[in-house]
Amino acid sequence: MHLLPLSRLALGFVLISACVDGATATAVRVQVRDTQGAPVADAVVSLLPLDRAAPPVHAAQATMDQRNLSFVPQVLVVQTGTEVRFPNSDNVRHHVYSFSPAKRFELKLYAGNHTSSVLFDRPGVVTLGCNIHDWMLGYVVVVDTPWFAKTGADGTATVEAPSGHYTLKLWHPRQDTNTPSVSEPVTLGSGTVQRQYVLKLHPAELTNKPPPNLEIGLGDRVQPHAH
Amino acid sequence: MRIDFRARLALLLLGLFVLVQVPTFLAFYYATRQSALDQAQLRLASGTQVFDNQLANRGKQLLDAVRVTTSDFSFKQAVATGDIPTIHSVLYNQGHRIAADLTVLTRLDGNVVASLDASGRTVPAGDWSGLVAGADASASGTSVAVIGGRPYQLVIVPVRAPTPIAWVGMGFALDDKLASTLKELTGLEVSFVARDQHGQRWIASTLPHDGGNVRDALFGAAHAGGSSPGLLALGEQHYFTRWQPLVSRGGMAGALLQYSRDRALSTYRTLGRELMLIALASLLASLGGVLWLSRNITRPVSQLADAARRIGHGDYLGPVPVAHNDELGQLAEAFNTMQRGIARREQQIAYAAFHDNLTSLPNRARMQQLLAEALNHAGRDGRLLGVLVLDLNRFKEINDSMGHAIGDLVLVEVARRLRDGLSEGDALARFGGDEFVVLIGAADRTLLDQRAEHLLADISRPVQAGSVELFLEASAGMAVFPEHGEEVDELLRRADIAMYDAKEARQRLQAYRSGRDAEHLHRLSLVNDLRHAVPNGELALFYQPKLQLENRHVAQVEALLRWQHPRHGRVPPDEFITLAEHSGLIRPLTEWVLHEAIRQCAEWAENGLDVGVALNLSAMDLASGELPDLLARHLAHYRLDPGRLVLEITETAVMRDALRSLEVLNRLKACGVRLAIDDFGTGYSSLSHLKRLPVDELKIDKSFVIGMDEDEDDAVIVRSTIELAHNMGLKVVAEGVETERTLQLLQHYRCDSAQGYLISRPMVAAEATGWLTEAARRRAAETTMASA
Repeated sequence: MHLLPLSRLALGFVLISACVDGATATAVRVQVRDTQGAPVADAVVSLLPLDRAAPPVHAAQATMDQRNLSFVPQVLVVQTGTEVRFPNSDNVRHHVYSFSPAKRFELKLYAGNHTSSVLFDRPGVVTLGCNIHDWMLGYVVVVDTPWFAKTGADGTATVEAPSGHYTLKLWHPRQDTNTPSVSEPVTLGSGTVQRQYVLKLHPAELTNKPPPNLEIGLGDRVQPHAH
Repeated sequence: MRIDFRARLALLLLGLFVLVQVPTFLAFYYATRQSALDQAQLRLASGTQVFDNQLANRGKQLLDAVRVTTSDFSFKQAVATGDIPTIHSVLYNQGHRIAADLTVLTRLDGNVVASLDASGRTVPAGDWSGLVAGADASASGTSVAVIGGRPYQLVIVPVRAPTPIAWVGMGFALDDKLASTLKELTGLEVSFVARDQHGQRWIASTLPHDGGNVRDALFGAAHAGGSSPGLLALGEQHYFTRWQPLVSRGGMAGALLQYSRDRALSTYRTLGRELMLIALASLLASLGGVLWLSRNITRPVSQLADAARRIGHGDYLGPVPVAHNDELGQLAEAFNTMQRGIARREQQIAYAAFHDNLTSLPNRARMQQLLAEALNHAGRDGRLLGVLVLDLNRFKEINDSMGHAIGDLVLVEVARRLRDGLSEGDALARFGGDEFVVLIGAADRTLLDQRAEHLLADISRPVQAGSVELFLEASAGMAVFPEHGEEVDELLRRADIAMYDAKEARQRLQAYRSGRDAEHLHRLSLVNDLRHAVPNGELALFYQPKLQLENRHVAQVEALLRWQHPRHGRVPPDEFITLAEHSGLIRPLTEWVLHEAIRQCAEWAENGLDVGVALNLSAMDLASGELPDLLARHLAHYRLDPGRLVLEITETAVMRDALRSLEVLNRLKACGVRLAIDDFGTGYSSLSHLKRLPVDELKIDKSFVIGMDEDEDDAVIVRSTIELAHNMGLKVVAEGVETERTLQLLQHYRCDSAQGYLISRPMVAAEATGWLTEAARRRAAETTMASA
């Protein structure tokens, strides 16, 4: 039910500057800050080509691990058609589910159940929850493009893509629902296009972090199932 | 209206009781009532708090329940399907689990997806965007909302997967059932009142609201609002009412919390009734106490009043009951003491009334009673009774010369002697002064006389008074029953008359002589008439000349008092003078005589008649010391030569109280008058005594003079007396000269003057004046002839 409005141009973001950085490598570098000026991590930047179709994906795989009673990573960006594996690295059970329209599924992950994987064949944000651990919150952001990136701790992300016209979309799990999402055209020609965004975030309802005092044996199976 | 003491006392005590009890009762009554009302208010306040807590707790519980419900994975799954029939079924299922009255599912933006009532029917849920927006702010929570005209306690929670994907709202009706539950918990009447935006009203109440009136009243109270409790009348009941508004959406909702004032007062009313009962009981008890008390006080008082009345009527015998050991008892005791005291004193008074103080003998009053009794007895027994009236002779002299103490001693001794002489049935009384009355009985008259004589003889024995021995003499008159009378007064009177007769006859005892009674009465009437004799001009002075034998010249007349009684005619001087002396009338007579004689003498002197006047004084006149002053006054008034006045005093009068007489005589003499001893020879005067008297003349008693011409002895006495007088330097007057022979003898004896019928009888003033004028003329002629 939680659909991101992709096609609407927003008024709420602020374009700080745009400049061309060299002609050989084409990329867009995005810096995201919150209204306090702090760098925002886990913001997903994707470039959707406007002048051609995006190349399909082939047997692409990604992993959304359950580790320390949380989704790792919390935000996973994949191209449409990617199969995502859901291993259980904890010694407790998990019951991963999604009621998102982009992908509805339910995985009962018992210890040692490695084989479960889900094909994300439609673009959209898939919100993940665990029926056993209410605090766990994860997102699989399915985009119809191979050109995407996720901001790091410094709030920056760089997406390299061939020259051309694109629609740059920005998404963050905590972005204000009342503010339209960033969705703007960007043209890659030469060098790196710089983009800076300020997002208004609401406080995290679920932290994807277990209660600090919860003492259960964790990570027993982390080593054997390392990818 | 007269209210007696007992009623007043009772009223006072009762009034005091009421005055104390009623305010106390009222104060207690109203304090209790106020306390009951305060309690009701407190209950309302605390009940309101309980109500709030209960409602809040219920909200929390409901919230938790709804949360648990929405956390259910299958629920989330169902919601996530978007399949309406599935959603309906699961909503019904979950709502039913926790007994929700309304279950609503909305999208995040508030668009209603499904809305079911408790029985699973789809019901209109209205616009939920506002409700959801509110819930969004607090993520989830409870409130009151008016939905479809009904108030609900509404819980709205998000459906998370794991982020919110929808809202679930569950409503719990504020209905009669909840009101009843809350009533049980709070003890208050609970009414939920709501009105939605369209003005539709809804009410749920624990109150019986059979009519629209109650609903209207409740709505009115809700509309008035305000959290301070008010008093609301519902039907016949009054309720303390508090309006508790509830945070609500979609309209107004709140609770009216009420506590019945009548219920609060019901316990108080019971208490009030008991209190009233206690007050009534204590009032009755105190009424009884007051009546008992007043009776206890007033009954003895009434008894005392009765006793006082009884004592007042002279009954001193009944004792006053002393039933109390308190002041009333003391009073009763005092009454008894008083009663005894009065009885004793009355006896004393009665005794004193009937007895003589000095001798303790019965007095006149008592004697009359005794006599009456004795006469009764004697009449029956045929005995004789003698009533003796006894009087001591010359007792006054003893009193005067020796003092009253001795006199009293004498009286006591006389009483003792008389008492010693009494026999059975006799009686003795003192009638006052020296007068005693003795009642003696005897079989016959001889014995009676003997007994009387014997009693009198006893008295004549000498009495020893200190160092002096006194010889007493008594005169007694006796009246004999039944011979001299049968009545007490008659016997006493006749005995008294007999006593006077005895005194006059100088006898010791004189029995009553018949007829004396009338004489006595005559005398009494004369005494009475004598009183008016002076003012009525019935008295007159007659003058009898005294002839000087030496020169045959009348130089003096003797004034003789005459009384011309209007009915009896001329009363003899001896008779009425004696009466006057005995009845105390002598003084006015003497004064009149003295005045008249001096006046007449002065008149004669003025008319050239050189004549002196002699007048007679009574023994009584000498006893009184006023005579000399009176004499001096009259002499001065008529400017009369005192030498012309001769005062004649009888020998016996002088001798009666010799010392006193001597003093008075000296004073009279000092006035310049001459004094003469009258009736000389009849008394017992001693010569030595005579010698001391300041007299100038002796008048020889006519009893000697009348017979001297025939009786040799009388002639000797007259002659000796004349010589004796002359030897003592006194002039001699002879009275009663009736014959020429007597006159010659007297002249022969050298008597100085002669007086008698031979010379002239006494004449009235005018006649005397003529007689004297004629005598003077004759004498003048003789003198002229002699000298010629």
